[in-house]
Amino acid sequence: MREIILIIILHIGLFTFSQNKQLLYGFSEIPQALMQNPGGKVTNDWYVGVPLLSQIHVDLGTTGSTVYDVFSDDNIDFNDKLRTAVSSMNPNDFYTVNQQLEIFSGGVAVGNRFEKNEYLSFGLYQELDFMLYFPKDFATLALEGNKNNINQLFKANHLSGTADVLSVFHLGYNKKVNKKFTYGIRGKIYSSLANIHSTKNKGGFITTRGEDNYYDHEFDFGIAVQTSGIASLIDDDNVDVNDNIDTLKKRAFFGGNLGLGVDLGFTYQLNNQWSLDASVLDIGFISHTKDVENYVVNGEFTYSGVNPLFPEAEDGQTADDYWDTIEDDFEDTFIVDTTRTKYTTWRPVKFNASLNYAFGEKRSKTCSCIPDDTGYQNAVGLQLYGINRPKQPQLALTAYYYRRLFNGLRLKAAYTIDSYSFSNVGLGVSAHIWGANFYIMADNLLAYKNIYDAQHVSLQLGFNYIFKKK
Amino acid sequence: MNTFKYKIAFFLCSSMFIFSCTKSIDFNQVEDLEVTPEFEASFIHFNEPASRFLANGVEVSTSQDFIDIEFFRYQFTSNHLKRVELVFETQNTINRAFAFTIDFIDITNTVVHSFTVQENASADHTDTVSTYTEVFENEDLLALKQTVRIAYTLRLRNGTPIDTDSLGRVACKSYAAFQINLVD
Repeated sequence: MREIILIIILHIGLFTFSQNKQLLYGFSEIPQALMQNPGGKVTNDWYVGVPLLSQIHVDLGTTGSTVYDVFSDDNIDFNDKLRTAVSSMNPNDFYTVNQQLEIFSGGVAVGNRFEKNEYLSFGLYQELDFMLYFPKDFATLALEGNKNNINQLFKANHLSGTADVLSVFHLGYNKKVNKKFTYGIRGKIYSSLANIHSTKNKGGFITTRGEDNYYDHEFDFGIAVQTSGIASLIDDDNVDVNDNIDTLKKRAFFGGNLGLGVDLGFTYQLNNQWSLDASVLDIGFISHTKDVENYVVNGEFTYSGVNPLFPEAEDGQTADDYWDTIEDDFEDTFIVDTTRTKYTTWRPVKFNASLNYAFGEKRSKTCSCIPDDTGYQNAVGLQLYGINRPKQPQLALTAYYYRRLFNGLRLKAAYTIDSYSFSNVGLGVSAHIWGANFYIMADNLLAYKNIYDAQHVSLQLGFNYIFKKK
Repeated sequence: MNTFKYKIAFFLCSSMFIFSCTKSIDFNQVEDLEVTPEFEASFIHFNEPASRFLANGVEVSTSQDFIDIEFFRYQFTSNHLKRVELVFETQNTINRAFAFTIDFIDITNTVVHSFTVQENASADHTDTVSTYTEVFENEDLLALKQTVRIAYTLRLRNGTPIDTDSLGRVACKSYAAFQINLVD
């Protein structure tokens, strides 16, 4: 029990992962930026990502209390800190975890020989996406009970979350229509390795002052937890880890529950210095038909005690018969039905948009002219990000400064306001040495002074080989 | 120039990690964890007129019944239940005092705990109200955890016999307050 509670507490404090890649978005020298906007600018002729290393991304965050809030070594009673943490959070606080690992990726410019204005990119990546709202009423009921919460409805919809492990094969097409307009589209095939989904729970439990007795206790639940890809892995007969690994490998390569999705995006060059771009990612679904196991609790029951001496029924029913009926009704309320009904989940749709202003042309020291292949050395802009989540969208607004240093070094610093904090400063670096490209980006640098108190951290890095004619 | 460039890149990348640090954290505090919710649940109730004590026009001054109950023998209850209070509020507008006895019986049919709630007679048929609390801790709690049957006896004390014209009612409300320690 202690271990379970520890895990729950750690979850309270642990970071959640979002999917906002504000440092990568628009960073056109990094090929993976096309994954954030299939209609983004393309600056290479072809590239290939180093297998398994071309993009490693982890992102953790919480909008609620942190590990430090609960576990700081400050001589304050641990239980007081825990209760303060729970009471300070609300049911719209959430934990998210997002991790992505590119298995392989590549891209190549196509088109006529003199002007290759089209670009194909492709790849396979693995993703873990976890999202859990803080189950406030469940935590309050476990910590306090109902004694001091008479007339409070403990809502079942406070249990809301999703967890997905999937692989994504994608193929993207990007076309520069003219100097001003570029668009792109990316098709995706999802193969879900495992999924847990519980977002539409309703009803709850309430204790009110009763008429016949001190209290009336009303239970009215509609709770459903849908799973796919899990039942066979935790089956008691399944004891061979190697078998499970083989199963997961097959699922990763189109052997899981399949789905389809699409990304759309464009870039519009307003003039030499101003540009506007936007993208919508993961408009798609996964149909869960294999290895499905759902757990459903649907019950309604009102209890106001037992009348042992004068049972309500007048037909010879004994008090024990009367009590048996109550016990049966109570147990029926909490019976967990297991079903194998197929279900469909929608991917969390993401939206990105940015307005950018480039400035500071590089001038040649020798001729006072503007070399036409270097472009602007700086850019600033505003980016908007949104992701659709079960209760409400999460939004983020970013202001950034981009700078070219020398020929092969690019920097992007960003300040982001989001659900997690108002103090998110991030930095991304992309180094280009001959054809080799290494990039690394980290968020919430200010939080690194006490990582346990961080509400959100993210890191992504990768290696590519990029070929450019110019 | 290239060397300088590499140095800058290395400095920027490594600084992200070098400057990360932590303040003092003590995860062992979880050993101090106490999760002690308190639940209250309605227990026994009745509210009956004097005529309920008549059978074929003759007073039956004692009513008795029982219920079989598994709750106290559940593993969870046995492990985590730390204290129980049974709180009663009795009312009487009959001109007869009554006693309400509850016996807790274990699997060998032995009474392991018993108590009686008393209520005074109401000579003028106005409400007499009393409260009573029975606390189960230590040995009493162990006895409660052995209980598989609860027997109830409602007994009217001696007094003016009940007939069809007798006025008044007897009533009882009660709840059980459970103190639980989830971490034990």
